[in-house]
Amino acid sequence: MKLQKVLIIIGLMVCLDLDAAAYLDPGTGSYILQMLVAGVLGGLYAIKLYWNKILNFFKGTSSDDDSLEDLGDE
Amino acid sequence: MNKLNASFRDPAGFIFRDENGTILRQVNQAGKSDYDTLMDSGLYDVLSNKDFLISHEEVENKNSEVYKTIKPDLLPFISYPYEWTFSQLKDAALLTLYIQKAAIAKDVCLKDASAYNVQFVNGKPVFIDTLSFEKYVEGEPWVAYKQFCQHFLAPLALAAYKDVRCLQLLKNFIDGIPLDLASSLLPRKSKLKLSITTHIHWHAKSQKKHASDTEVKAKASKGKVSRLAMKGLIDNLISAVKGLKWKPDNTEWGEYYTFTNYSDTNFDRKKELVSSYIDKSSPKSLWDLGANDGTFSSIGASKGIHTVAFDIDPIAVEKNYRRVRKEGIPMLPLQQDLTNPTPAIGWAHTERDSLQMRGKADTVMALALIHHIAISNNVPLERIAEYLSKLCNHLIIEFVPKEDSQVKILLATREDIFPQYHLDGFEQAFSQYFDVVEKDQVGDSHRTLYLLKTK
Repeated sequence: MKLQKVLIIIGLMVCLDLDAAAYLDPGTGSYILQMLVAGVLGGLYAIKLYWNKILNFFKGTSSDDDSLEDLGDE
Repeated sequence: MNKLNASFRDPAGFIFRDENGTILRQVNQAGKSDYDTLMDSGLYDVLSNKDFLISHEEVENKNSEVYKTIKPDLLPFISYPYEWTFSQLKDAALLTLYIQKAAIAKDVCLKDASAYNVQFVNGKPVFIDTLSFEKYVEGEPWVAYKQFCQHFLAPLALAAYKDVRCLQLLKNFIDGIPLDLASSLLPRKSKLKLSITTHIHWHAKSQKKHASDTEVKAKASKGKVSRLAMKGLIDNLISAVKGLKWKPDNTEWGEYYTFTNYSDTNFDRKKELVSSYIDKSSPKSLWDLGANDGTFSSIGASKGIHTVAFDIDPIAVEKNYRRVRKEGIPMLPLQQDLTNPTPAIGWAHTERDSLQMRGKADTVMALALIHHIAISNNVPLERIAEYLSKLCNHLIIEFVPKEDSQVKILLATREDIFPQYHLDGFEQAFSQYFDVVEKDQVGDSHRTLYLLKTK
């Protein structure tokens, strides 16, 4: 896929030097996919947060997106 | 020092048993910065206060070369992902992601996402690996992303889209289900779900494409994932896991019916007898083999005894787990096929223990079970007695004779090749390994209940 190649090149162009000293092998393909999709997912997440802020503004409630969620029944 | 083999991969430290039998965790000098990051960031307090992370106390260091020795809260029973039902694996997955989310907020990151880092206490998942944390460096990708997908997302997706029995694959693949296998097994409709397409199908393709690409490999190690992108990734994985559901044959859980041929009076009588036998054997640990949805296991749990409720039927175990989770009782529902019990797996067969290695239980219950093993699976009574004697000190067992309607059903379609299967044959076989403490007929049914003590 051409688009995928372009995205990989863009992804790699903006890379920074980082030391990876983990004991787990993250896997090359896994890393590349993560770099490609995380940016998009981050964008969607930002939109979701703003949308929630707008909803909360009208509802008069507040929320903290870093708060710990509860595990519960479905 | 007796090093336990479940934790040898991480150079940061390991679990061991000291001379008094206490389970401790050693933090090596190599693990100093990881441990301090968890404790000093405030993340430990946040997570342990919510019972998301196992609590521990620092104890005296007997070896000055060691950074710290910590004593985690004792776990009543260690279970493995291939013994969990769908919702147990799902809750463990969500716990891992919630912890990663909370960690990032405090500049900490999970350095692994193994399903074996989660255990269950009173119906709730608890993260047990205090050394799975490291400092979060903004820009670095999540090193455990692949492991999370293999250990959690792939088996859950296979169970939800294909068949719940796919969870058993985890017994074969100790580091999670390979994503190319999951991708090839998942039906086409799974591709309609963007999160499954991304984290499993594309993920598998990307792995295959770059498996031996050394040039890309060098560049990938310098990758960048911003903090917002990391949060987006975790948030998306949370949605992906939450969206996976398993509902067998569209039945409501509450309506799932498990057959019993007891009259109400006899059923109550059986409960009374089981309760008094449990009191007489006064166990600290109780295993219920063939527990179904946990009706009789609850008698032990209601007395405050930690009870593991094993059953072969994933639907019964799922139903039981949902109840235990709601009520928060000291019970652990697990899937177990007694005709092929959990083996020891992993490196040198020592990483994950077999069922027997996790015993002996003080008391084992085997109610309405023996006919399934002896008649449906052709296991001679003596062999059943021998194996059960290795699992417990006391045994509460119900003998179901050929006159019983349930046994008649089992024998209806096959030749009766079980001449020894009668009350005397049962007593003779079990007397080789057990002494009889109590024996009662269950009301006016054909069945007999025994409390036995291992010789």
